Amino acid sequence: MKKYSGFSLFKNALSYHENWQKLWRSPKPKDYYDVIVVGGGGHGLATAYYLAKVHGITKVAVIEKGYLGGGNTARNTTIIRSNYLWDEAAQLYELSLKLWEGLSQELNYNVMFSQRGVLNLGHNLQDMRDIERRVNANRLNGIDGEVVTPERVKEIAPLINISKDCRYPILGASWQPRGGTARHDAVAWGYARGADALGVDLIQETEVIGIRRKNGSVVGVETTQGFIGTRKVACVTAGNSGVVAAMAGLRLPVESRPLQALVSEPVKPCLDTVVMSNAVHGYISQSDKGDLVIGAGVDGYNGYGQRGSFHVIEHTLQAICELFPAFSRVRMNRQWGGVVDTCPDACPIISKTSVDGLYFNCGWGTGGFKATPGSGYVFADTVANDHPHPLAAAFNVDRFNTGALIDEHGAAGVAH
Amino acid sequence: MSQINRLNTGARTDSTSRINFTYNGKQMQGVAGDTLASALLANGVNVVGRSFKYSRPRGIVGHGAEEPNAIMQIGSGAATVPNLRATQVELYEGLESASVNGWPNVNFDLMSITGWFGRMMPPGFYYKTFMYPAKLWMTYEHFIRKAAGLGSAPVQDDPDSYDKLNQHCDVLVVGAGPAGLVAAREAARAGARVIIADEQSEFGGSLLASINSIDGQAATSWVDELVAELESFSNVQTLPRSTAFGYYDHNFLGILQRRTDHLGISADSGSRQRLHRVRAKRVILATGAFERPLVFAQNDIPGVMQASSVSTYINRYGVAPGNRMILFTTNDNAYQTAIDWHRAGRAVVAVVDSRSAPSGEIVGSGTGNGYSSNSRLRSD
Amino acid sequence: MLLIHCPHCREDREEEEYSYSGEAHIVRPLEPEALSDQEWGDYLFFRKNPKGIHHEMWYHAVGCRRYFYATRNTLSYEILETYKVGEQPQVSAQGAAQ
Ligand SMILES: Cc1cc2nc3c(=O)[nH]c(=O)nc-3n(C[C@H](O)[C@H](O)[C@H](O)COP(=O)(O)OP(=O)(O)OC[C@H]3O[C@@H](n4cnc5c(N)ncnc54)[C@H](O)[C@@H]3O)c2cc1C
Ligand SMILES: [Zn+2]
Repeated sequence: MKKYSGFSLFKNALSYHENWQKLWRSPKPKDYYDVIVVGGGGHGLATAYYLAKVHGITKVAVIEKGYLGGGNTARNTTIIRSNYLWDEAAQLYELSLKLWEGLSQELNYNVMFSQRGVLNLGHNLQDMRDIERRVNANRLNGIDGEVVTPERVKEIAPLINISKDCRYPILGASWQPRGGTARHDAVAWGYARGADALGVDLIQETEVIGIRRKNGSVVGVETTQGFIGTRKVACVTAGNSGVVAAMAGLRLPVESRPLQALVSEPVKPCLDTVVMSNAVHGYISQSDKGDLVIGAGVDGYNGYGQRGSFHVIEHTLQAICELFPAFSRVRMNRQWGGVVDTCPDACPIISKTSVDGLYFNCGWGTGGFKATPGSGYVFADTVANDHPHPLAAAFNVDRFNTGALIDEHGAAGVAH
Repeated sequence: MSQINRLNTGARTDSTSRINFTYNGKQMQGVAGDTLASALLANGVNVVGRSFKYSRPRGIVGHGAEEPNAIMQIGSGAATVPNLRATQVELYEGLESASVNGWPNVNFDLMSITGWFGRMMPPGFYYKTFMYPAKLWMTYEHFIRKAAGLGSAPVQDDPDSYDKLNQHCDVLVVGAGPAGLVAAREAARAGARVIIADEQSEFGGSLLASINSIDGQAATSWVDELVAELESFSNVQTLPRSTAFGYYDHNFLGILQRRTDHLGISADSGSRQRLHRVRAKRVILATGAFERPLVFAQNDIPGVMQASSVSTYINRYGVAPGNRMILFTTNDNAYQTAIDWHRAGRAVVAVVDSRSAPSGEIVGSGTGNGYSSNSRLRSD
Repeated sequence: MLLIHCPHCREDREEEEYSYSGEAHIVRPLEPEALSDQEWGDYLFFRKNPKGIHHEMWYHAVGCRRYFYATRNTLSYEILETYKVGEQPQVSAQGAAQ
């Protein structure tokens, strides 16, 4: 892999940028791989990268039915933070945040991780009690965070409305300065380039349509390009996880729901942080391009349509205009939906299954982008050793039978 | 500055009226029926913006929603609106407008020095650099952010109010050009409950700029009659200045009606904008077409304009956007623009046709219309 | 924005009047104490979540306030039928009328 730097940019400018190395190869699938990762989103690509990088397993293919990073990775609002309530979740997201902090250098690809801080607003006394409890829990876990007053909120986000004469006045917030955003595509492309350089085959426009088993163990996958042998299938298919599980005769505690987002036309810098509100249900940041990036809640029903209902985004925009009364004159540019894999406890599933050699990493729902590096890291470890990584153990799918749920609805930021 | 390009040919403007407005602080005048774009062109304004990365000068290219360059900040203070296309802003007395890119201004732009380094900035260059030392990224990013964005969001609370209506109808027609108007009329005559919406200030679509006749009648008066008939039906609701912005499941559409923006006054005239949440039994999309731009080197320099837009400025608004024209086309249709240009008393320098042997009826009518077949250059 | 026919009210009403209650025809075990953890967890949490034909339960929250079933395509969002609790669907994933 040729290294990127200011110098390589200059050198390539001299040859009119015609000699850049391709970001990754487009190989023909081989007959057999040690591991097949199904799903080339951020999580699948990170899994492949760490399998090769940390565990030396390089005979790996990532099979993607569309294009790399075209699923929820391409559709999310890129909020990154680690201020989850319970130890298990907080530690997993914090591992991820630590990896984010060195990711551009690790991948030699600028993922534009921007630590401009995240505010989670409280609008009533119960919100504030929850926020205090969560911030205390975070600090006990070594995670940065503080409870801030409305005046401090206003300093951080000057256009916000902290007056008391509105329906949901702001009473305070939690503030995680190390949180922020990153450039979604760059994360997928950076991991893809890194994995490819380590020998991983990235196979696009190829759908897995069956999982072949023999005596309860995986022996390969059927794809739209034919059969490919393997003893380990690692599924990282987000909203399509139920469909892939059914190929192996399994059901998951997951429902696929549309989740929508919108961006405004680009405007000059006016919001320098991320603002989230559970109670009025909206979250907003401003991208480096100048777009206001706004996320809505999940739709009420199961759906694979990558689109949602109008009243959901209408409600979110009402919330945003209440928080930022000046933004009602800024025009929206695009809206879209992704299919998110919601879990009953708002926590992911990183797990072996009852089928030998079949692993699932799903259930990230509305909030898995922030976990991309950590999720890939612990999942690669789980698949490589056929044993859960210590930070993944609590996220075993068995918890839905044992009852050891990890309820993160409060910190998940978006009700689902 | 005076309206050096103003003609009295505009079917939808009143060239005897006067409307005062400002552009980048300069006083100008337009006429009733103008858009900000037609008024700027009438005043001979060529450069209306700068490109985002290399700061190249940009002029008006289109005449409607397709306009990529004439992005304006309209109004000031709490009621300012960023990023409106000049082609979609109706002129009103006292309108304030400013171009959104270019520092210190669009004509003398210091940012264009980035053009010298342009070769260092291929698409996606930022993924390849600004990584070392890691702690400097937030500083780099600060400057990247400052260069980004078009207009500015207001910083005061919005003084206006907004409302919404839930609506039901048998037939929703989106687009009030000839196809949409006739569809709405037929549905209305059959007794259906009809809503017809169009994002422009008046109904008629492409016919507003047409000098052709329909059923022996000037196209624009045909439109007037049809609109009058539609408005006479109690089962028809006409929504001009109303953009259908989303088509959701089971025939649910969102339509945004701009109720006061063209008046230039705030608050006291009721809601500024109204959201129509329409559930329709049937939907007819009659939204017409955009002219597809031709691709050639330097096609973004000021003065390059879509042929249909040139005709629209002459015929609808009474503005000739320039003096001497070269027409570049791949089809017969654009020859009408040469004819319109000639009728406007301007010179057609050449017609460049990518086809080796264009032969349509309108092509031959060149002689006597200011361009002859030997001024037709061919690039075959 | 779905338009949903309530089989009780016999009217097409906006999605906003309803709330969703998930997969239909899941029978609550008569003796929960008799179930293993595995069976109880399966009953509570594990779902078919299909891409395509789905039988699901809806509640006409601001209308008649009654539950009913719908057969809906989760990819196209087309609603193929709605029917009352106690009734069986006419349309199934296999395509055959039952
Ligand atoms: C609107 C929206 C906003 C969001 N906002 C945030 C946020 O602010 N912060 C945050 O942390 N998270 C957010 N999320 C969630 C986040 O996007 C996801 O949790 C995360 O991106 C999931 O990554 P992934 O790689 O698992 O899934 P994806 O990127 O969806 O990748 C899964 C891939 O699997 C492929 N696939 C599926 N089935 C098959 C098959 N049979 N064969 C081959 N390939 C297959 C798909 O094509 C897809 O590319 C948001 C999501 C949405 C939709
Ligand atoms: Zn009912």
